[in-house]
Amino acid sequence: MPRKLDWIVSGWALLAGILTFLIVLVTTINTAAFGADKIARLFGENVAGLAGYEDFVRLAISAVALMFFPYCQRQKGHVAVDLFAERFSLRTQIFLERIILLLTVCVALFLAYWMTLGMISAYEDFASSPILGWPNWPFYVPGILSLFLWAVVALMQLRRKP
Amino acid sequence: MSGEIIGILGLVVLFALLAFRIPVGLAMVLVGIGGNFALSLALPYLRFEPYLHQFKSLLWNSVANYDLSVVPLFILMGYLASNANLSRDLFQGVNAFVGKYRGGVAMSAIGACAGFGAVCGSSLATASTMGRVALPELRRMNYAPGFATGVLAAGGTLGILIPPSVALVIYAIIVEASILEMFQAAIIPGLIAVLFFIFAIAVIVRIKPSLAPEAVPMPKAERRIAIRRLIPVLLIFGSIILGLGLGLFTPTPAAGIGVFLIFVYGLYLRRFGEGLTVARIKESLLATAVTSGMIYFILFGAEVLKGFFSRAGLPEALASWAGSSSLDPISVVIVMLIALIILGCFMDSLSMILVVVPFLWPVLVEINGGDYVTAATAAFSMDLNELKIWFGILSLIVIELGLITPPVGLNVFIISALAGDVKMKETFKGVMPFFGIELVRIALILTFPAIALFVPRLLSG
Amino acid sequence: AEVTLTLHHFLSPKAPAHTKMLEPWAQRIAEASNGRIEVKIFPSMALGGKPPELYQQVRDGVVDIVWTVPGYTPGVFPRTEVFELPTVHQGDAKATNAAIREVFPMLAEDFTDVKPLLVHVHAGNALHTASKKVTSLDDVKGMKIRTPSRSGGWMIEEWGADPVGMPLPDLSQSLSKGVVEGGLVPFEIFPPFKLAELTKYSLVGGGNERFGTATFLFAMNKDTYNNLPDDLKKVIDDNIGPAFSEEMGVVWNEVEKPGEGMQEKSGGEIVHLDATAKANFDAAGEKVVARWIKEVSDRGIDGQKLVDAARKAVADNSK
Ligand code: NA
Ligand code: NA
Repeated sequence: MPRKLDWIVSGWALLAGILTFLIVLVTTINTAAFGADKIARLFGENVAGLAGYEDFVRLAISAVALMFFPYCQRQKGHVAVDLFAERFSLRTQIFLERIILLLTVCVALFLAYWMTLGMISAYEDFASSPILGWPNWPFYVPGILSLFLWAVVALMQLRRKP
Repeated sequence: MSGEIIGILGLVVLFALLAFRIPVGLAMVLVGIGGNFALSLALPYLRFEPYLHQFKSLLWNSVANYDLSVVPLFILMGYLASNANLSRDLFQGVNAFVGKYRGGVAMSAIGACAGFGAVCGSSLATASTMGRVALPELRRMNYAPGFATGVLAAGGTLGILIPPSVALVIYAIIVEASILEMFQAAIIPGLIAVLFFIFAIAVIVRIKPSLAPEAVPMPKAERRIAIRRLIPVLLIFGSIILGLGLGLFTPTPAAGIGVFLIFVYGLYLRRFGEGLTVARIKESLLATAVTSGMIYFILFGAEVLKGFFSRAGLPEALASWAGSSSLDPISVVIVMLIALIILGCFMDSLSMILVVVPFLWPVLVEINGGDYVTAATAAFSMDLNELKIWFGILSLIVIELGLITPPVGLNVFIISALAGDVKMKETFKGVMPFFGIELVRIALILTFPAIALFVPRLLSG
Repeated sequence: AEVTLTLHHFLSPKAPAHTKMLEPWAQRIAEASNGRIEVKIFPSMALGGKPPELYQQVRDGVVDIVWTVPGYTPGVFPRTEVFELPTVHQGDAKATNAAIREVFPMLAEDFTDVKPLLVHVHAGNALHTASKKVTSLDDVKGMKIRTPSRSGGWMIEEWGADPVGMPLPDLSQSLSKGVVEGGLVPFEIFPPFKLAELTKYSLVGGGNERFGTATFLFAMNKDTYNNLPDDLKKVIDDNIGPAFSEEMGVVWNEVEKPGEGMQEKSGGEIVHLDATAKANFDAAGEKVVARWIKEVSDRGIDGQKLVDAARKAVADNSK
């Protein structure tokens, strides 16, 4: 794996991690407001929560989830069941591994292609989130980039000499 | 060829692909798309080209899900706790109390596994974290190698039932149950498991004292430090499980607050040269990326696969067959659980929940008397909602047993790998008594559903 | 059958929408076509995807027919939303269904990509509260209320209360735990969600008026329809007329009754607002309408004209 790609893929996952911390922060504030409200009520006061909190979490997590994919591929983190494949000869195993990587590249590109079309139609439809009213389509972008990056990572793993 | 037959063939192909070590999510996507192509040939009204348009929004919509946001959060919570060494504090703290008994260190390991389960969503993470913390201690105290690894492999399974649990979240989403109620239902069965495991250890070391050495009481100074460190950990972990258990917050807020508290405490610990450094935070985030990425891909794969199976009419056919036959309800559940135990030897728990439960659940609903049946007239004497909870707890216990059964027992693999010098066979042998006592627990919950239903009943009035 | 049409929706096969609307319709089509058309119904999102994807599925031909909620995809049906606004819909699904038919040409641009079979509403949202009896606008101030829709959230804000968004299945426990103190839903969902036990009061207008409603879209893929032979096209067209729309209005009014009965039987109370209080709620509703008009004008839609036409049509049909 080229150094630079490695750096990009880890950075991309860490960026998703920072987004996750943002979700944590927003959640904590919202829950604290909820708790404060319960207390304030005793004195006849109200503390409002963050309007559209669920919307925000939903949109942010949609980006986070897909941004994890390339790094997961880099670490070969996709779970597989080791039943008798390990009894195959080394050559068969290597062959199998290459087939799997090739299929991964295909699926990632397939999904990236369709998701791009999906983004266009979300844009054209003015599809938006229920409470905040934020448009959905920008939240497709990190996903599409992640899928391409995923394909690149698998491709690099395919190129590597066993 | 009828749709159902294509569906069954698809299932066969799926298992074949899995046997060739194709990653689970990938195999599901391939079978789903390929199966839909086959269906479009047999049943022309299920057109293939338009079907592909579903992929415009399928992936995004399956990840843009508020309920699922707890998955990465719970996972991050577990890794942060582990990297801030809270798992060690937990283990040492419990050990300060029970270490003085014969087998006490093993019991502490079980207690710490349960406690860590309260912040960690996954069994595998619980097993590997507690393995790393407790195994060296058990070995240092001269516990028999197979016994030590067996205890930890079994203790790791506690991660799933002690809420929060990713598996319970996924199950709840599949059968459309309340995640919170599932968590609440898991509390008593989880505690029973802890008690049973500790009881098992006490019995084992009594029968075979050679497995565990005479206990050495912890030095006083060490003990004081261990207890002092245990308190904040118990406060943090306790507030999460109590908040969830009492329904004070819903899962995502609980997860968010949990991460926040552990993060802040981890930063505070830096004053003592410990806790969360930038490198450790980074490590936690990257580990979260791998585990969550894997889970989300399987979830998406299951969504694609579901579209294929239901187009093929498979779950529907199974349910209507079950509804028309006069099966004995309890026997059906027992057969299902046995099937899950067997499948659990070969499949990972998440894909079992995602692939197998959607077939079993409609059958149970039909046998019980349909969606709107009341407890008074239902075959299982419980309404749909309670059936969801009860069956969910039962099947998750059984699915987790797959983690400690040969030939593929992931917990056993992990712990044996950590130990290095312990043969897998030894660990499987060490885990057997715990497997046995798990069967007792399953029988109890089967006979007395109230064990699972008591807390949710109490809390939803 | 000569033509097999797939019909996809998100509710359970035991839900009234399935048993009282979609199944009878499918049967009717089969009979009217002498078995040449078979409508295969796939409930509970059996063909894959999440409920918000239904509209795309029918537009792209993934399935032939869907029954869905336009509100799941906010922004996609800007004109149709007018019928969800408080003070536009009153409390009678039959009247509003007829009104939708009447002003349909003004909404048609929302549906250019599909063949709409029926656009209809449910009887409307009542405010169900766990323990607090609401008789005036002052009583709801500061309450946390589960919102059913985007405009429902605006309305709750205008009331001076906090809108909380959450999936319907979470409502029951949220009510019992005090996460929310009330919810805006129709009585229809009382039986499956045990709302009779969880709420003490249900608030409606003096004449059973409701606080906004939800619209539903029953639609067919355009190509599927266009590719039908003319006589089969006619079978479809014959079964989506005013009679169908009226029938569904009656069905949706009727499904409220069991829930209303449950609330009273469980010792709860259905509170009817008096004229002054109702006027205050309506004034808040008017602000929502104004906000909506301003918002759709960004998309070049004359919201005022739509509101006026919708109100007039609802009034004309409420007799
Ligand atoms: Na757990
Ligand atoms: Na009531």
